[in-house]
Amino acid sequence: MTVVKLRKTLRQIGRLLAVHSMLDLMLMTRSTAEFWIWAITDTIMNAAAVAGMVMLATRFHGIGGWSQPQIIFMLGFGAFSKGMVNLLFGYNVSAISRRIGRGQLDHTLIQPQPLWMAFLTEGFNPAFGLPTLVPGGALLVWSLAHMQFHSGPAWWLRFVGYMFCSIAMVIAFQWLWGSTAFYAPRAAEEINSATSELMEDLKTFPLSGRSPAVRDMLLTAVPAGFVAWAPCAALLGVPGGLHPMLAPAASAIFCGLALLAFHRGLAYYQISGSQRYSDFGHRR
Amino acid sequence: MITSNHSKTWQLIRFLRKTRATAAMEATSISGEGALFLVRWLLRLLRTAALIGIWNQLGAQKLGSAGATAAQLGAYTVLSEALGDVLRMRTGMEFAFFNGSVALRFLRPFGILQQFAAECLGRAALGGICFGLPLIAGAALCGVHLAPVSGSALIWFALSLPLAAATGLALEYMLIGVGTAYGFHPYTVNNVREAAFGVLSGAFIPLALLPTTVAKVASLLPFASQAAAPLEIYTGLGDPRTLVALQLFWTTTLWIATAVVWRWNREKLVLYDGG
Repeated sequence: MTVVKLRKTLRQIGRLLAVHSMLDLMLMTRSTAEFWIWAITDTIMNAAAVAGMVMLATRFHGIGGWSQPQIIFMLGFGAFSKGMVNLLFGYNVSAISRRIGRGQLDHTLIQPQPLWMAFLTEGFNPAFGLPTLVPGGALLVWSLAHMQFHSGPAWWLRFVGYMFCSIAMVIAFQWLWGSTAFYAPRAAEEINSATSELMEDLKTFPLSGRSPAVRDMLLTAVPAGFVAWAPCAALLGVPGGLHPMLAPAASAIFCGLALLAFHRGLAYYQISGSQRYSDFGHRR
Repeated sequence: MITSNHSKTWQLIRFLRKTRATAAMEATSISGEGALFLVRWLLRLLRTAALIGIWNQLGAQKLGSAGATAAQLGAYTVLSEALGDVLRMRTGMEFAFFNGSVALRFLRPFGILQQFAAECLGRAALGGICFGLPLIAGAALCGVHLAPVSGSALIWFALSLPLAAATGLALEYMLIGVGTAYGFHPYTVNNVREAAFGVLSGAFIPLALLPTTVAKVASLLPFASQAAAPLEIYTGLGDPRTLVALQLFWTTTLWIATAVVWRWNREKLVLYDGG
C-alpha cells in the first residue's frame, strides 16, 4: 500500500513538473525576444555575482591559502548552486516572503494538492533556469581542468550530495526569514530580496584564516559559509576546513528550523488571513 | 528686479521644502515598518568585515604590487559601505512605471525626477544615520584608520562625492528611460545595471585590485565615476584631478543624454501603464 502510494505521489510530481515545464515553454514562446532578454540578463547577473572574486583570485593567484583554481572551483560551486535554485525554485518559491506578503499563498492553498508538492514543483522553470547554470558550470569545468586532482565516481557522488546540501541551505535560510511575512506582510514582503543578496554576496568569501567572530557569524547567523566554502573545502581537501559532515548537518538543522518557522507562520495565517493582495509576480 | 530675485528665492525655498518633505516621507515609510529594514544593513556590515579580512590576508607584498596598503583598502571599504546609498543611487522608478503607480506621482505638486531624487536623499539620510555613522564609529574603534590621506584630498573628496551622486542619478534616469521606453521588464533592467555596477564600479572590490587591463577599462567608465572616484580620492588610491575631470565629463554627458532620452520618449513613458 505504501509503495503504491509512493509511486502515485512520484507520478503526480512528474506530471506537475511536466505541466510547469510546459507553462515555462509557453511563456518563452509568447515572446522570444523577451525570453532571451530574461535568460541573458539572469545569466549575466549570476556571472557578475562571482566575477569580482574571480578577478581578485586571478590577480593575486589565490586568496587565503586557497590557490586560484580552488577559489574558482568554490565560486563555480556557489554559482551552480544559485543556478539550481533558480531552476528548481523560481517564480518566488525561493523568495517565499513575496508570495506570503502579497497574499498570493491562497492561490496555492486552494489547489487540490499538498502544499509541499506545490512548492516542490511550481518553481520548476527549465527554460529560464537552465541558462543560469552556465557560468557556474563553466567555472567548475575550468577549475577542475587546472587542478592536479582525481575526481572518481565516489567524489562526484559527494559533489552531488554537497550540492544538494548547498541548495537546501539557501532555500532554508530564505524560508526561515520569509516566514516573517506571515506576521508583517507589508514590511517583510521584500525581506527575501535582502536575505538572498546577503547569501549571494557572502558565499563568495573563503573563510579560511578569517577572524573567529566573522567566521562563526558566517556559519551560524548567516550560514553563507555552508553554501560554497565548507562543501568545497571538504571536496578539495583544503586544510583549515570543517568536518566533512558539518555542512550536511547544518543544512538539516536549518531545514528543520525553516519548516518549523513556516508551519508556525501558517498556523498564524489560518487565524489571521491576509489583509492585502497584489498579483505582482504571480504566474497567470 | 527685486521682485524677480525675491520670486526666485521663494521658488528655491519651496523646492527645498518639497525635497525635505518627500525625503522625510521616504525615510519614515522605511523605518516605520518595523525593525526588519535593518536586515539590509546587516549584509553590509558582514560584507565590510569579510572584505577587510581579505585585504589583511592578501598581505603587504601582494597589495604593494597593486599600489595599495591594507589600511587604505580598509578605509576604502568602510567608506564605500557607509556611503552605499549615495554611491548606488537607486530610485525604484522603473517599478513605478511598470506597475502604473507613477500616475499618482503626476498628481503631486513636484517634478517626477525631483520626487525620485528626493526619495533617494531620504534613503541615503536614513542609511547614513542608522548605518553609516555607526559603521564609521565602530570601524574607527576597531582600529581602521579612517582619516583622509591629506587635507587637500578631503577637499577633493567633498567635490567628488556630489559629482558621484549626480553621475549615478543621471545613469539611473537614462537607463530607466531607455528600458521603460522599450518595454523591458524592470528586473531585466535591474539585473544588467546591478551586474555592471557590481563588477565595474569599484564599490565592492577596488579597481586597483582587479587585473590591470580590466581596471584600466573600468576606470574610464561612468560606473567608476559613480562610486570608485570619491573613495580613491579619499584614500589616496587615485589622482584627484584626473578623477574629478572624468566625473565632470560623465556627469555632463549623461545629464545631456538623459534629457534627450526623456524628451524623446516622453509620450511613450506617460502612456505606459504597466501592461
